[in-house]
Amino acid sequence: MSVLKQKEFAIILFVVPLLFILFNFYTGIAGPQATELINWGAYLWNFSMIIGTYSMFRKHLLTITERQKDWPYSVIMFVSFFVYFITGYIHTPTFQWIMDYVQTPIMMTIWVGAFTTFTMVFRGARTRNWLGVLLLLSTVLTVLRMAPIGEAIWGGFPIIGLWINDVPNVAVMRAITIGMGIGLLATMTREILGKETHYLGE
Amino acid sequence: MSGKKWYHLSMDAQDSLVYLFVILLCGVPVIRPLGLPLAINESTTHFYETLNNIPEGSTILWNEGYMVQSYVSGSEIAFYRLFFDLMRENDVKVIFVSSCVDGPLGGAMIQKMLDAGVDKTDTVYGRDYVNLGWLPGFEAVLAAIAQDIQSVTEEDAYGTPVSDIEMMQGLTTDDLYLLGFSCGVSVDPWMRQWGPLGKPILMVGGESLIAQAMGYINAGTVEAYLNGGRGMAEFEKVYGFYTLQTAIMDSVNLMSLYGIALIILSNVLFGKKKG
Repeated sequence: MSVLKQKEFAIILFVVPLLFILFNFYTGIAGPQATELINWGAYLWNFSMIIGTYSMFRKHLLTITERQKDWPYSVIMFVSFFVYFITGYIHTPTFQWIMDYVQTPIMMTIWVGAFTTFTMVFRGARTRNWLGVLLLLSTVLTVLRMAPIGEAIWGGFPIIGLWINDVPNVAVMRAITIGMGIGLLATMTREILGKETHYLGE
Repeated sequence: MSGKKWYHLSMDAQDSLVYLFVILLCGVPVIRPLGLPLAINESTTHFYETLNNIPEGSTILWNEGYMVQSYVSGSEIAFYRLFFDLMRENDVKVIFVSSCVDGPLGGAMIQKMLDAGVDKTDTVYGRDYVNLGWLPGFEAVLAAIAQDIQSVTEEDAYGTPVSDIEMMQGLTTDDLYLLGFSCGVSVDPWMRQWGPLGKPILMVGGESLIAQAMGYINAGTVEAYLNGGRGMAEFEKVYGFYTLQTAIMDSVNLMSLYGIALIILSNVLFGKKKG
């Protein structure tokens, strides 16, 4: 068994830093060290980009070598990736040109996808029960709060819309945050007790 | 087939009709503006006042994180212009930097504003403002700003060593009076990294993002915010400088009503179908 898959090793790696951060949170002792540990999360996020790039390369290389369906698109992906990457470092004007005349129009085209929001509304916004009615009603009131025409129609729309944003919305966001926190604590407890082993790939 | 009415369209035709009305309703205000009055929300006024009340000689940092539609419309021109007013009138110094997840577009956005969007009269690069450009790493960059502004990058966007830039010499994170950011993704990374500094934080974000950030706003971690496109338009009205952002408010009005009409129509048809 790989040393990385031993429970004791995993507990040292995951649980001890977490306990350390909690200890710092409640006592304020060893602040810089706790901050450094939190920042490791951000650094790991960057490493996940490397894993993502590796997976993308592997998938598209396989698609090309095995001549799978739509393989020419994988070739385009590689060409785009390397041209964009290399010009960014070697020839900035070309990079800027790509940015202005290729990437921006493409991304704007993707944003035209916002059109589909309206067909989604047309097809999906159908109420089957009172909870659905409540959701749609709050949606409409929020829209009327955001659009200046709402206030022009009736001065109460912005007040109600703001209340929805400030009260139920905040309550739900806090409930989600607290729920996530409790879930995290439960997972940590299971890890300490050795009952949670998914992160070992088991 | 006999029971099929003329208005029983295929789904593709229905979609096309929905899109046609979207195009028409977006286009009509361009030809004939509705000119509905735009009320100014308290949050926008507070955002504007917070910027205007920055003490003389302070240094502030603006983290650009907006996405492609802002790059095209230049929707942030108004407050970039205000930054330069503050430089001229109040000796405020501004650090521009982007760690936008959309990639180098964030840096291009800053450059676009600096090239064409603002009036740079009587301001000097390096003394009044600096552009650190786009830096990869997203939250790692925010963390570096929070720990030590000198450690963020060795060179500015134009390759000049940061140590050679007048306003950056001896500057520490503690010296920053205010931090601001625009973003299109989760607000948590900024709050996680900058919240503990206890400095005023300004935020510009889309409507859904503001809803997500309300907890931070109510707690006071975010000092002031601009709420999406409407917030930008309100800011332009307060500041007295108008761009495309104000112009599209009429389209926003019509599209909002259209969206509501579709919801009602959808439910009426669904109710009829259910019998």
